[in-house]
Amino acid sequence: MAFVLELMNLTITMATPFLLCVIGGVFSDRCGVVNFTYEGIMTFGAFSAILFARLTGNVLFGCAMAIVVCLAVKMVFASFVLDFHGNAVFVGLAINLIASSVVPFLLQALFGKSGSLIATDLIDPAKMIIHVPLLEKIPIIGAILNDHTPLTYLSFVLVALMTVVLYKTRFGMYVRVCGENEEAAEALGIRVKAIRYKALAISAVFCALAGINLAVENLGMYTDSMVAGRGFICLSAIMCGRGKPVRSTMFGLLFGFAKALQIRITSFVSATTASLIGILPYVAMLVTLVITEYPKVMKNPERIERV
Amino acid sequence: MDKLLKKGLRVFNIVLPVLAALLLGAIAIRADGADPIRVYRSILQSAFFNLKGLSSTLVYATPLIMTGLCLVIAFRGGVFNMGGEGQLYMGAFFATVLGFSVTGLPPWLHTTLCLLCGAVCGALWALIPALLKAYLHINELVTTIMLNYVAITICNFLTNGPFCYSYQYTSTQPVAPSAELPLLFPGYTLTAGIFIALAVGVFVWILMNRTTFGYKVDTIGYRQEFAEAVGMNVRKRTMQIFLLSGAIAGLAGATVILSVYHRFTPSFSANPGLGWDGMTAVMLGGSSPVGTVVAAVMLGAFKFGSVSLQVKFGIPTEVIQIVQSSLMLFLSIRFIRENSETVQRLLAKASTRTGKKKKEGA
Repeated sequence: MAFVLELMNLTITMATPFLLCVIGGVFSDRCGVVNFTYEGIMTFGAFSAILFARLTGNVLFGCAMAIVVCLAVKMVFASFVLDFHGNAVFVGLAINLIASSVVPFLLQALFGKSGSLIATDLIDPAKMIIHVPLLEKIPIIGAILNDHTPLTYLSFVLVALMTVVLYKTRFGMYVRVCGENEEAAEALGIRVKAIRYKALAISAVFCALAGINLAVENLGMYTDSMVAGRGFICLSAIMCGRGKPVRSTMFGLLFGFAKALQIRITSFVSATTASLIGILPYVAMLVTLVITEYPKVMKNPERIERV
Repeated sequence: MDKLLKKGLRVFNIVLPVLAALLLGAIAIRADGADPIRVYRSILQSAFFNLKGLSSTLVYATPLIMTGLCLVIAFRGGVFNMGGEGQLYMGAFFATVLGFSVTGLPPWLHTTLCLLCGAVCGALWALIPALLKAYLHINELVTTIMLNYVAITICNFLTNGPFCYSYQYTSTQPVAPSAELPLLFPGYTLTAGIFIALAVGVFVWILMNRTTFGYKVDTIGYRQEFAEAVGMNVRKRTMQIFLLSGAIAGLAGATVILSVYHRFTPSFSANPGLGWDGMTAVMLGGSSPVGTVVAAVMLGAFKFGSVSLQVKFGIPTEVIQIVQSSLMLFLSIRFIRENSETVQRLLAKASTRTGKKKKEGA
């Protein structure tokens, strides 16, 4: 029982970056832009949070700068796609490659290091955890929901908030209309490009938060390949959830569970086998994609979908 | 005149991104305190202006030619196979296994078998996303990228676990000498691998330009609805395109191992990975087989030329990756679009001028 509860608790921790990235990504998905940049933007977020914390000694300033940097990179993506009519897939993948080249370059050029940037002297991950005495008294739920970082708690609030924004506000409606029928949106007098810029900006901020959660809250440092495909997992969560906020975040939770399971199994087996267990989240994602897409195919068996 | 202008535009749209990327790289080099012009000149000099450099350039270009060509087929058929990296790993790993587990074969047979094994394993790894796309209509972009992570993890595991050879250095056993691709000239690093790459180039060119298969691939890539309407079996073709592309990527992996490393190490496809380099090549080459081969050689030169940057100028080798990734960013847009107003006006002007000339001539 203790094992299960601990696993559930870890699931929440592991799911946080997924939840944040997914709920932001839902906006860029629903506004009708193919967005492949989560991976790169998250890397930029994680790195710049630690970088600016390192440079100024102020962690909060680092987090703020992470958001600024992510917004800036996302705006490059947005302008290449929306203003210069680049193929969103290629622009997105290029942004990911840029993240994986600029970050090691800066590490090497500024600190003469490769692989990681440590800021554990500034950030104590253990102190990030909030212990809520009130939750302690509730059995089971208390054990699962207690002792998490601020962004984890915030992520649940944000999921609820952004769902309301998407479905209950005028802006949210505009986003959905832009994605579903661009011509109709234009005919209605909606400024499609402006709406898309805003939706992408939202996704950038949430990716930054996901990066901050990974680097600042959980580890207190940046390491290369720390994002490790999370951006693509988020993308598939959104695909599985068909861009619906609650459904997509549920898939985010599911992948968080796969990640947590992977970590827990790792402690029972030898190191080499443990490295093989690393495929678990990815395989979970592929299986989920198959299960969720299967009914759709049964309805319309002949068409192959295009990007 | 019309055609000439359009051709000029195409060249312009490739040259401008290259210049922009080089400029961005120059800024990074400058910021790090080195002289960009001297750096670029040194890259060119070491990569082209001596025989040793030229041979190494071709060695670096060999896998890029193939990973580029694997994407030529895929992109032209509208299949976004981003799994080149994973297929390359699978091909490389199992070619190595066959390379050291079988001994006593004549060299020509052993190398051929290893290369074939690499191609088959690459194709098999591509089979998963191919089936998912053809039968379940799952977007191949996401699945192929995820499968890259899976492939790399599996190869890492196999190298550290069942096929572990030395504990100091993560690698498998070296392949038997009979499996190694022979050096072409003694004293130079160039191997017969370049011929394999060029043969694949010729194969892809013939396939795309001289066969009905190539025509069908282009049609499907251009407009799938049309292909379906005229009765093409899009599902079957999509599978074929995927498998072919995977096989070429696997072959690329096998070639790299058999000609350069002679053993499998998980880091053989250094950051950002040979599969992704191939994507830069195919974008630079404008999805044509010949263009891709030329672009891959250019990239190979750039990669080889940048190896010694750290020692010579004290700047991180990642600079080159910045140039490469920003090149991809700039290539993904058209600097000058064919249907933009300025171009249309230019075209109109050109046609009236030639019209006048014709009249005068008459």
